[in-house]
Amino acid sequence: MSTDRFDLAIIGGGPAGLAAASMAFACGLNSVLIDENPGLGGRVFHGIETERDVSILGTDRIAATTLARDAREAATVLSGHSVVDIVRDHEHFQIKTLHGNELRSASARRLLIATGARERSMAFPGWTLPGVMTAGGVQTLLKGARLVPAGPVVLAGSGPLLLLVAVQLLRHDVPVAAILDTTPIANIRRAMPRLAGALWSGSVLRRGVGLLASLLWQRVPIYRGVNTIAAQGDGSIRAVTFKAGKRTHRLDCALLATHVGILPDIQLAGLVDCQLRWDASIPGWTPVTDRNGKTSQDGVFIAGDAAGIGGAEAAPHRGRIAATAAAVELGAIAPDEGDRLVTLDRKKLRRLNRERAFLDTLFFPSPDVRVPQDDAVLVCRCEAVSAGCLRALAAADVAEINHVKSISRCGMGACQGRVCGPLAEETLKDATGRSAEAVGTFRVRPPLKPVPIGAYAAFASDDPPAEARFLYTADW
Amino acid sequence: MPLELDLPPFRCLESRPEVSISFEGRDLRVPEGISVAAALLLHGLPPGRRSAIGGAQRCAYCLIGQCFECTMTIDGVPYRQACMTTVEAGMTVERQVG
Ligand SMILES: Cc1cc2nc3c(=O)[nH]c(=O)nc-3n(C[C@H](O)[C@@H](O)[C@H](O)COP(=O)(O)OP(=O)(O)OC[C@H]3O[C@@H](n4cnc5c(N)ncnc54)[C@H](O)[C@@H]3O)c2cc1C
Ligand code: FES
Repeated sequence: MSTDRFDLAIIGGGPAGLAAASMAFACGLNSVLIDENPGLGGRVFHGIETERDVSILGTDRIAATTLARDAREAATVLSGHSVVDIVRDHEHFQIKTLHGNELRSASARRLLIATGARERSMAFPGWTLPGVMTAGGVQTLLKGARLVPAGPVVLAGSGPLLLLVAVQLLRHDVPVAAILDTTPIANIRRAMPRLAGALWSGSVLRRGVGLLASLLWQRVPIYRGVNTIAAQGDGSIRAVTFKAGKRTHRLDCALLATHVGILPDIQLAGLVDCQLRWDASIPGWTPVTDRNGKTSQDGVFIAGDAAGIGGAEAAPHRGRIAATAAAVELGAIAPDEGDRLVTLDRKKLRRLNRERAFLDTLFFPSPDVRVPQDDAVLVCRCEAVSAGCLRALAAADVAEINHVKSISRCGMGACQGRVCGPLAEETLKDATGRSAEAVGTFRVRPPLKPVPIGAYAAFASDDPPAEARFLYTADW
Repeated sequence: MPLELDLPPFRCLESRPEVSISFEGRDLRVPEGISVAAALLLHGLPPGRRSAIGGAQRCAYCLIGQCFECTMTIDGVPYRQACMTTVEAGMTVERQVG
């Protein structure tokens, strides 16, 4: 198998990766842009390349169309390729991707991880029932396949995306029965001192106010201070029960969309062994980077939400800065030229950070959202490990998360702890009072996705230095 | 395996050319270019595995390739993510235990 060689491999085709690709090209680098979706755009601009009528998209989606088109001209684009392993081979990174049922490989001198964020999960009784989805997932169906649920839909959780999805569904005549707001009331008081700084620095806040007004105008019931959510139903969800204040409510619904914020996707950073730190403001694990997105691993840069949640508006600036730093490292441009290229990006980022600080404080998830309250609730959906099981281990002083994994199988399924990781960490911290650092986070093991044995065999026959770990056996 | 088909079907906002896929022996007409998960939701079918522990029917949860609840056997290959796989004419889709 011939391996294509590049100066820079950018993984992730969201705003950070797209802007990085164009900047890398401007700096004279030969780069490859890899994304597992069929088209470019990432999460926020998912489906942008197949959107029928660009004129109705609104200004930022039109700008994103340009971003994607420019990136296609600037880099070799591998769409529909999931990065499943990366190994260092002298001066190069060997990147293995899974494309359909086939393994491919590419090599590059520098890595730019721009894999974005994933949604934090909220676990409650019934959350594994068909008809319970993440709000981002429901939105992805709308953006990509142009699909909307039948409704009535209930949305539960906290954060700007929750309101956005509610308004997007209403716009397409999907009945929204209610919004169950889990934002702790005390957050509002804590966030207020940061309001003034945030007001004119970014657009999320202003848009958020607009969304809220739209929901009030359309008389969507919003319950505040919600807790004790449970999905009811047999084959699929039929209703949701919850507490707001002292009262218990029950609402019929056909879909429950939950959202309690997003976390950096640390899968690739973990795979290449970048140092992580606990960021108490999200709260969650975040890669350690300098102001250019350079990590603790030589030659590895991270940009966009994968480097810590900064939001969609900040992502392209962070992508440009990291691509420029990679170009400086490769000697393609001089350091002072690099600084000059990203002066405006840095200025914009400083402004956006003020808004981020406000949003992080306002939407800081409450402990009862982060920790499943009921012992019977599954934390690990793949291996069906309950919160009670984790608490029993914690009581026996087993609370380091990789130790817990080997005993309970929590995090050993196909998702490799992407969903249960944060829930398990919070449950163990809560049960033992230990720090995030003491509990730790799941070690990432290749391949990142199940690789069909046939694909491995075909790959290995072309490419002699086969690595036995590519066989997917025991853990799957 | 019995079909528990009680998800209210999703609806598609666009009319696109259609292709046929086969889900456990039934023919489904679906818009081209959408994911297998979207195609099944459109027909009120839960795109998802059956839990190896307890056998419960699961359904696509994250739709962005993270949760692996949507893993199915597609064209004979198990553990394919229905939310990340685009439909193709003649594709066969089956549920798996996993
Ligand atoms: C489901 C979801 C919906 C969201 N919707 C919005 C929204 O409507 N508005 C908003 O302002 N913010 C939204 N966000 C927040 C989002 O994080 C944005 O801030 C923005 O998309 C981040 O840009 P990015 O370039 O850092 O990464 P992203 O846009 O997240 O792009 C990362 C890309 O990397 C790809 N990727 C990840 N891992 C791999 C791998 N191993 N191999 C290959 N490709 C990989 C992903 O498929 C994705 O396309 C959403 C987040 C999520 C999780
Ligand atoms: S629905 Fe989560 S991986 Fe497909």
